[in-house]
Parts: sequence; structure tokens; C-alpha cells
Amino acid sequence: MPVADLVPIEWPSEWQDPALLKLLEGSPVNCLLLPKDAPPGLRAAAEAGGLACPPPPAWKSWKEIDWSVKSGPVCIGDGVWPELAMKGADAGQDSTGSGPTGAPWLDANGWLIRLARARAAGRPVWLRSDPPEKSENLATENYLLAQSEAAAYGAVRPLWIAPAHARQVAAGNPALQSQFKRLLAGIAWHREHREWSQWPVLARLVIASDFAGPNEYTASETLLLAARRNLSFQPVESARLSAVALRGRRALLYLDTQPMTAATAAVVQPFVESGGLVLCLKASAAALKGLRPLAETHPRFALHACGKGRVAVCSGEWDDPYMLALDTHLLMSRRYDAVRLFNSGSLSYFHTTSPDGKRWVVQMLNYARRGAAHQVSLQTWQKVQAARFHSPELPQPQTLELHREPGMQEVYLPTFKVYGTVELEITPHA
Amino acid sequence: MRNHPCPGLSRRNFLAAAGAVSAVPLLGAPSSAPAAPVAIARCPDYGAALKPTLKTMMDQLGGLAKLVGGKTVTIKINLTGSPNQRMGNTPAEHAQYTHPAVVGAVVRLMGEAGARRIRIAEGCFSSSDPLPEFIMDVGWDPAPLLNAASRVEMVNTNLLGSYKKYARFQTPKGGHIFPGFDLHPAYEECDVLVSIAKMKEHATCGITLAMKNMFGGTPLTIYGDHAGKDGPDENGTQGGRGTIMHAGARGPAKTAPQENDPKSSREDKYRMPRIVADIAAARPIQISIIDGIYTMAGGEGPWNYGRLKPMRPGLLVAGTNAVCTDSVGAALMGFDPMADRGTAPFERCDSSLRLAEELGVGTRDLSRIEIAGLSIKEAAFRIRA
Repeated sequence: MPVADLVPIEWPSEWQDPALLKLLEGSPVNCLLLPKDAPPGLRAAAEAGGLACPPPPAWKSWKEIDWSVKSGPVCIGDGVWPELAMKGADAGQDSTGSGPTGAPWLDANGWLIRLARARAAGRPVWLRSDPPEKSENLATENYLLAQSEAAAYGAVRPLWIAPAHARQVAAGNPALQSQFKRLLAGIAWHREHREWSQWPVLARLVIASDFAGPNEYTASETLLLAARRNLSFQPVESARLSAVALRGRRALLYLDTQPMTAATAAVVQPFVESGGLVLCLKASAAALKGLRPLAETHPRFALHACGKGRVAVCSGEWDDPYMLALDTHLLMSRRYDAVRLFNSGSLSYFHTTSPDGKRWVVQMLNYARRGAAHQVSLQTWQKVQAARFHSPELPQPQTLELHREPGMQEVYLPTFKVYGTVELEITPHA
Repeated sequence: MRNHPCPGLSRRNFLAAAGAVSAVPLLGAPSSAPAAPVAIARCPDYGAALKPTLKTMMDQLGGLAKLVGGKTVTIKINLTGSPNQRMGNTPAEHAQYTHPAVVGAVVRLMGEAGARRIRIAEGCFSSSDPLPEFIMDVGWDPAPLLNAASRVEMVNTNLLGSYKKYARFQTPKGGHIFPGFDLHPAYEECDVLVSIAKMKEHATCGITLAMKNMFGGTPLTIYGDHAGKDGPDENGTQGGRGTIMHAGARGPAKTAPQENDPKSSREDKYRMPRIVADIAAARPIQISIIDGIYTMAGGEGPWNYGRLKPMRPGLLVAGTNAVCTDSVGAALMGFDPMADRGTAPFERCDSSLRLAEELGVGTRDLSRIEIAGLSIKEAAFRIRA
């Protein structure tokens, strides 16, 4: 079976009886990652049933992945368990952490999956994380969020069940078995819609770096914080930066501390001269020609004109990834945000476009795992002729009414607990 | 049109005149506070009727050319709270924010009336973003506003930008809480200050109209939750104004005027109405416009608890004295502007109308305020209905 088609489960140690394989019947799960203590009969029974039982994946920190390997899945073992980040016990059980804007902080993997997919050159990306504390308290929605997050961003997260829950499922607890089936149904739903995550990302910003050595911290934190702002970006390895990678983009954030090479500068120069924005350090700006200082001032960048575009040269070193993500967003301008969500407190979203450009999808994850306190609205300046809402929480897709205002259109979303997608049918030639 | 700060004065003369008022004792007779006409008009929506309605109202106040011709104008709009937060699906401009169509119509009229330079200003919540970017985050396009007249700019007054220092404004009579404020130079460099407010109730002040709108003009770098201690912190724009202003948990940056009495009540419903009055006296508003076409009831934003709901009173109010205009606005909402703590809308707070009147800003006595256009009786509704 091709690796890209594998839908794995981390088979619980508590499930020693091969008869429990029946739990997977009718589900898309087709691959068992067996524990070391799995009884021999289990493997035989699984394989007899057509299930793959590959050797244990070589899980590694994303920082230690060998990106030059050409085959097999990229197995990232240091993801996070996705959730609304909670403060320490001393802050009270019900309080949440927050970022610098006061927006709730999210433990999320979207940025990491985006980076891995950009560097993996077509290899499937598998992701896991350490189990959360007090895993016996996890609800079905926690598991669904973990699965939905990976699926939305185009990765595979082997299904993992907390030992306490696995024992109850094995013991025939009807409620737990029902929840397990719901989980499998959620995975099946995402498999049916997996093309959405494979579509091109609707991003006007390229973030380029080698993502290693002295650049690793700033680059990874900037991706993380850009994702939290719902600033859509495409990560690109600086050595692979090309005219194709910059086509249709508005801005390039070039993060490496090492000077831009002549070959890279030859790619960047026409991009900026034709109207693009480049943000970089002084060392890299020196590789670009024809910079003219602008009168416009900025507290952290010296702004220059270059052809029809601009070059924003950082006044010092990159020292605050939060401010860097913010500055990048504002220097590029929110004008280029394809969509905007209101009342989106603990939502993260990721948008892609069909290869023919006729459909956009905005996949949304609710890290709070419950219905939003207020209804969420989605606004776009792109003309659309129809909108639908999809969710594994709904029996059927729901047509959304378009609310048209001068220069913009909105749809009001139904409440959803974990995951929903808005599909926008784009008006041709608009 | 007499006995109130006259927009026809030069900025220098006007500020000097405002300063002269500070010699009046704090407990001077409220009835001596100036009165000025207020125009009331019905406007069903933000469509084609909006601009001519506003023009008629300005004509009723003496004509916009007389007020702003050849002048530099700063327009403080109301974008309170996060730009991404809505009351359900109701767009912010139909609930808590000044509608951009009103701002655009006012800018256009001022341009046509000969205003020399127009600045649209707001101290955006928890933000150092340039105002056009903040406006895009609301979901609006700033271009029509910037193109509504010649020489239109936008400024986020939370931080200095290219300026070297904040402008100092002294509160007449010493002020209730603050003897003065340090504000963005946009409030000093203008001949005419316009406050375009939304007609709303307020959790801490009972009502929020033209005067309360100016609270958002206090820079976060000095008065915000993460303001500098010794001086303005141009990176300290996160959060709101709860710590220093609402709660009085600490003072503003030390370079700014400090509280008259740090031992005074820390109750927000005591402090906030007084601070609102102090700001209105320290930097008087020359033109007050209240957007009551669409609004919300039950509070000033979707973060309030309780009986929040969208409303459509279909009203515009304008005047050249902020206390007079706000008093008429309060009356239109179904409240008695002479009411004070214990009576709606001031059940749990003091009246900023009375407090501003005590500072000599203007009268809240409706019998002394000339009404143009609709009468209060014709236009009044009950925001708490």
C-alpha cells in the first residue's frame, strides 16, 4: 500500500485481543502501529484482514529530520497536543494563557506541518506528540481536534487513544465505543475531503529561510506567530527560492542572517522591482541594487524604494518574532488578507484554492472545542457567487446566505465545536 | 451660538480662552455653563440621504464653511474594542462603531466647506497599527475615507509616530481627577476638533456619546495597561485603559499630569465619569456628531453582559457644545440629562454631564438648549424598551 494512502492507528497496548480489530471495520484506518508487546496473533490477524503493520516509524524532532531523504513519510515526533493553552495550576484551573494581544494562546501544529510539507518535497508528513497530562479527561472533541488539525493542514496524525479510554472501549463500554466510532467517522470525513489540503495555499507572503542553525529559532517562531495572527504564508527554503515560488505574491520575508546569495538576489531583484515588498536584514539588502531611501518612517525598519516595489531593511537584528510577524503583516497590508473572520477568538484557519481558481476553502479549527460564544462571520473582498459550510458535525453541507455590502461579502457560520470549512465559489473574472 | 468655545477662533486664541476658564472656581454655578444649539434629524440608513441630512444639520448650526473653512480639523471616531469582535453577526458599524459612511460624509462636507486639512483619529484598542490597517481589520476599506476630500490623513493617536512629544492640555478648574492630559499632537494641531460618536449606553458611565468618545483619545503609551512608568512607552500599546483609568491601580506615565488625589475613590463608576468630564474640559470638542442611525442597546460593546441587542433609532444629532449635544442625545435615548447617580442611566455611576457642566464645558439644562430640526419629543425613543 502506498505510504500516502496509509491511515494509521497507534494500536493501544491494552488491546491484546485480535477480536478488537473489529472496531476498525468499515473505517478508513488501514495501518496498525503495533506496540512492542503486541501478541503475535494480533499482527497475523491484522495482516490477514488487509491491514498494514509497518515497522515503528522513526519519530524525530522536526529539527533533526533529514530533509534530503527522498522516500517514506517524514515522521515528526515533537508536535504538540492541540488545545487552548492553559496556564499553570497556580493561575487557576479555568484560566487560559494568552499572547501579547490578549488573544488566547493556542498549542497548535499548523505552522509546523506547513513547514514540513514545504521541506518534504512531496513526502507524506506524519505527526505525533506526547500525550497530554491527565489524558483520562480527554473528550471525543479533543481527539477530533487532533485529527482535524493534522488533516486540515495536510498531514497524518496516527490515531491515539488514552490508555484509560482504550481499556473501556475494549471492555465494551457502549458510550466509549460510540465515541470511538464517532472518531473513526471524523477521520473518514477528512479522508473524503483531503484534496482541500493538497490545493495551493492562498498566501500573498513567502517566508524564506534555511530554518536551521542560527536561523532556526527566529524562523520557527515567526511561522508560529504568523499562523496565530492568521497571516497566510508559504514557507520556502531560501536555497529553493525561485521566480515560481514568488509568482503572485506580494511580499517576501527573507529571514536568514547570512547575506543573500547572488543567485537568490537575482530572483528577488525582479520581484521587488515589479512591485513586491522584501523584508530582510542589512546583509541581504546589500545584495539588492537600486535602493532609494523613502521619507516614510518605521520604528524598526528603514524603508527603501526599488523599482515599483519596496525593501524594508531591519534596523538591527531580528529580536522579537511577535513584532516581526506583526510588522510583516502591516507592511504588506491587511488589504491582501483573502478572508477575515469575526468573533474568531480561539479559531485558527487555513485557506487554499482549487487549482483552477474557481473555489476557495477556508478550513477552521476551534481550539476551544465548543460552540463559539458569539456567531462567527467570514468576510471576503473577493466576489463570490455561492458559499457552503461543511463539517463532520453536520449530516449535509449547508448553503450559506451571502450578505453583500459595497466592496465585500459575508457569510454567517453555523456554530461548530471542532472543525468547519467554508467553501466559496468564486465569481469568474471578478 | 455664544458662550461656548467658538470654532471660528484660531487654535491659539481658542486654547487661551479655554485656559482662562480655569480661573473659575470648581463649584461655580452650573447654570452659568454655556449653551449652544443642537440639531436633530431623522435618517433611515447610511445611504443617499445621509450627506444631505448632515449638511442641513450643519447649516442649522451656522454653516460648516464658517466652522471649518480654511481650518485644520481632527475627527475623533469611535472604534472601541477589538476590531474582530461583533455582537453576534452584527457588523461593528451597526452596533458599537461609528459608521464609516457617517465619517465619509462628514469628511466630504468638510472638504466642500473648505477645510484645509482633515485628520481622522482614534486611539485603537490594544494596537499600534496604523489607523488604515486597523480599519481594514474591521473589514472596511479606508480608501473612500482617505479620498473623501483633499489632504485627508489617518492617525492612531496611541503613539507619537514621527512626533517628538505629546501635547499637554490643562483641565480647567484643576479637574475632577486629572489636572491635565498628555495627548497626541493631532489634538493640538487642529483648529476644530470633531467627535463622531455612537449613541450607546455604557456599563461604567451610563451613556457614551461625544464626550465619552474622547476617552479613546488618551494614548495607550501613557494611559494604557502597559504604559511606561517613567515616560511614554511607544511599545506599550497592548491592552486597554482599565488599569490606570478605570481602576486607578497605578498612575499614568510620570511625565504626564498625575491624579489630583490618589486617595480618592478607586470605583470605576466614580472615576470614569469624572475622567470623561476632565478630558472634555481639557480639550474641548468644537463639533459633536452622534450616529444614532443604527446602534446597540444594553452597553457600549459586545463584551458587555446582559440585554445587548441591535437597534435602529434612525437618528443623527449634532451640536457645537459637547455637553449640550450629549444632553440632547441622552434625552433622545429616553433619559433625563439632569439625572444623577441612582437614576437612569446613571443608576450605578455619576453623571458625566453634570461633572462636565461643573467644569464649565456646557449646560445639560434642556430648557437652555435651542433645538433645530426635529424636536426631542418627535425624535425620542427608549433605548431600554
